Amino acid sequence: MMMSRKTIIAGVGFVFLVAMVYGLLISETEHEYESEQFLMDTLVNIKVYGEDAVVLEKATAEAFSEMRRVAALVDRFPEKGTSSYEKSDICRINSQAGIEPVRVAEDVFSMLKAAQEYSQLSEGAFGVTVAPLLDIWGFGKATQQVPTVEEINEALKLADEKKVVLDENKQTVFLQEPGMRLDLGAVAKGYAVEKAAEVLQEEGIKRAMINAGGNIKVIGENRDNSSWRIGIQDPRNPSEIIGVLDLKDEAVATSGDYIRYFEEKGIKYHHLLSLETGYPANMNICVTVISPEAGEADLLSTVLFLLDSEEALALAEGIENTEAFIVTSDRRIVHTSGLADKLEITAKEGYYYD
Amino acid sequence: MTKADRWLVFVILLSGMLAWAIHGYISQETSTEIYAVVKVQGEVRKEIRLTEGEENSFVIEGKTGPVMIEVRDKKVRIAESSCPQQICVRRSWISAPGESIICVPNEIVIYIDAPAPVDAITR
Repeated sequence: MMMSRKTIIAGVGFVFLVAMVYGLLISETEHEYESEQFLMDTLVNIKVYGEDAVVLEKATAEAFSEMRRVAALVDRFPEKGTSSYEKSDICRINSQAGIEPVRVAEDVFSMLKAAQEYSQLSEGAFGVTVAPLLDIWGFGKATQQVPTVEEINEALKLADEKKVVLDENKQTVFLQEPGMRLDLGAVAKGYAVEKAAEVLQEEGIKRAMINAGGNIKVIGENRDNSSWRIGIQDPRNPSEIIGVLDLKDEAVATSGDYIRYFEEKGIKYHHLLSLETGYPANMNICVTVISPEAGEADLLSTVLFLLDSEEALALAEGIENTEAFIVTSDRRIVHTSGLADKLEITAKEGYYYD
Repeated sequence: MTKADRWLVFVILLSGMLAWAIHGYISQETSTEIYAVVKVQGEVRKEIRLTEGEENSFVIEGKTGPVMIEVRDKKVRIAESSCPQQICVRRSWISAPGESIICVPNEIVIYIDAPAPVDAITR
């Protein structure tokens, strides 16, 4: 049977139309660009979305270099005499303890100011003068061990937040006692994530996620114009999630007893040390903080971890736009009232909550 | 509406449906298998298809030394590592989409490559 010319033209037209519609379906005007680097003792992953692939790549590279800049300022472990040592404000402050004030970068000054404020709110449980204590336990070093009571008492004498003098006008920091040392481990990662987010936004990025080993900041909405869904890891079973958060333009961070720890004589010792006792705080298993700002989320998750859950919740309730999710050491799940509409608790057996 | 108009509407609708069906079929095809991806210093070194009954282990050179990776019954873990704190070894088995094992000193990342129920995990 001969097909008429009309039928052939219609047939070709039809196939063409199918191809066109298919093309429309798979073509996405929005690109995704993802990149990761090892930084600040963790894996940092940045995912950005936008129409211009060149802009995405450039913005991500700049965000990473901003994080590296912050990391260099607060690095506590480079060897004396190296260029990394010279670049580290923390090394310079620590080496001048009991000698003279040190002028520091604006970043370091504002991290220290925030830390000092929260140290007061924690009534002394939290402080950036924790470095001598961290060092005798060996956190941040190759080997860890339980120190003697004498060693702990010596380290606690050097952990006095009142002897950290910040001069706003001169932007200087002075440790009044020789031997005092600062550690910004509780705030630097979150601060760096926040700075990286600022860089992305300056480059015009409207949708992105930065994840620095669980310190997460989301910019804008998720791909399908919904919230970003962030899982909270089960602290006793890493393949499970005990809660899911719906977030937009927010940051989240978790401090827990289950990532950085060591065992001695069958007992686990984690790295979140209380300045009241000199030992790992044992009132909570983990604390997750949700805040508009990644630096605050990071800092506050550590501060709240060191407090009794009731005090911790009261403190978090008092800070605007900031929420907390706490698993206490007796496995109760509690959270601030404002979290109810952003949180879905998925914990199964082994946890208690209302 | 003439007869030709009606034909045109019909043909456009049909083409749309057909394209949708093809699109659905192709996207389904690509998401049925689960892979574990092993990256060392940012480079993908291995993609392992996770299948039932599969048992395998291999050693990969990380930044500080050798790391032994074990695959068993659709799960992956770092069995031995040259790193000081052993955080990666303690992470144990992973198998669910979105889960990952990270060894910072060795700059190794292992993750399950499949659509995850959440966008990220805080820990």
